[in-house]
Amino acid sequence: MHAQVTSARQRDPVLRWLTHLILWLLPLTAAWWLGGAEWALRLLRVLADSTLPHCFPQGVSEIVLQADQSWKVRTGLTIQDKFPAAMAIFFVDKTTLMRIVMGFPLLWALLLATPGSGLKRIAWGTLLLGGVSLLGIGAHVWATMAVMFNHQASLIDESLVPPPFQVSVDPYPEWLFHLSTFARYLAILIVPVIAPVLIWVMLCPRGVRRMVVSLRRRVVKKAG
Amino acid sequence: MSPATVIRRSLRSPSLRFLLIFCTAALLGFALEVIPWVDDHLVKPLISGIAWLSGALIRLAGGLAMVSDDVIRHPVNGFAIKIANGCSGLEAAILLAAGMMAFPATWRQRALGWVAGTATIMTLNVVRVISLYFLGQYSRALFDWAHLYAWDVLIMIDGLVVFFLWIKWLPSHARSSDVCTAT
Repeated sequence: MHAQVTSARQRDPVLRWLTHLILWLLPLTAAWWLGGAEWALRLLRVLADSTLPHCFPQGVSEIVLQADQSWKVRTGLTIQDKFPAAMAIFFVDKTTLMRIVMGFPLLWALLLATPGSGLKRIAWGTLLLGGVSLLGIGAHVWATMAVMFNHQASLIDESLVPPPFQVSVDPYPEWLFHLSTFARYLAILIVPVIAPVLIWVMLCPRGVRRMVVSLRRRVVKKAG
Repeated sequence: MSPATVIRRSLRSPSLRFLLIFCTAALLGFALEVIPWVDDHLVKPLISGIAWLSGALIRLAGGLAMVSDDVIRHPVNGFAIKIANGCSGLEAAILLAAGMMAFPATWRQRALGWVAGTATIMTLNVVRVISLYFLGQYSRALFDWAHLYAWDVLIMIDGLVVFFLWIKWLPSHARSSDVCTAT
């Protein structure tokens, strides 16, 4: 019976892939949560600090790592009615940051579980997901600033509320405000889990196709 | 080359066509989900239903739980979890629907697959809510890890497995056309 189960697993590429996926996911997840994620976030902060001020010249001037691993974002926005004049700052908490980069172990496990996936694909996948994570942080920063500019809470995410002060900047048009909060919703909730799967499909088209074909072959064999 | 030509050429490649339809359908689904009317009339009642069912199952298993709208509270130690938007399993169901729309099949096959797949995802989501309710009372760190990472990945893998099982279930002619063009 055991031999039959083992042999079925060897024959069925999807079952074999799923077994390998779970076997890779366990140590990778452990390594990620025992320190890997913090290193990745340090690297991402350097990237965010060098790119986001160019994307939001009025909004972001510097991103500083805090002792609790959260990020302090210094802006060039002047707080209204405050003497002496002060610039607005906001924080990106560690939970949000960890959430944005949570897809890396899943991506690596997907790539390693697929036959033929080499180091080159892992490197490309990591690079792509790094870019996606940076975009995710950009989306979060954009929405936080939009809430600040418009002094209006997000309709999509009840945790995204305006600060107690107002800044001296023209508010976004309504559609742009909603677009920014929708982009944040996608970046925080959806993209971290779907991006690894899409990157895996893009980097391993043959492996994915082989699995789909194997599912068809089994039916043809049974019918024959 | 005009954008229309680029799109037409892209649609000839099955992988690109899949990705394009998948991303468009998913984006539309998520855009619909966040419309306030849909949120009030579909998402919020669904979340309340999940909370009610989870509370009922906890009590059935001998546990203590009080449910009020989208909050499940322990009546003795006061620990409570609130099922927020994004914890309803609806996002995974939308992604599954997008995947099924992008794959060659009839609308009936898609509808049957989506209903069965969504039932699996929702069932797993209730297990997720119940497990988080108990984990939160035991350890905050473990709760955060399971809530923010482990369960989302598990539900994503569940969605993938359901999608593969659906492909396996499809009659061979629907898939053979895809395989012929894909290879």
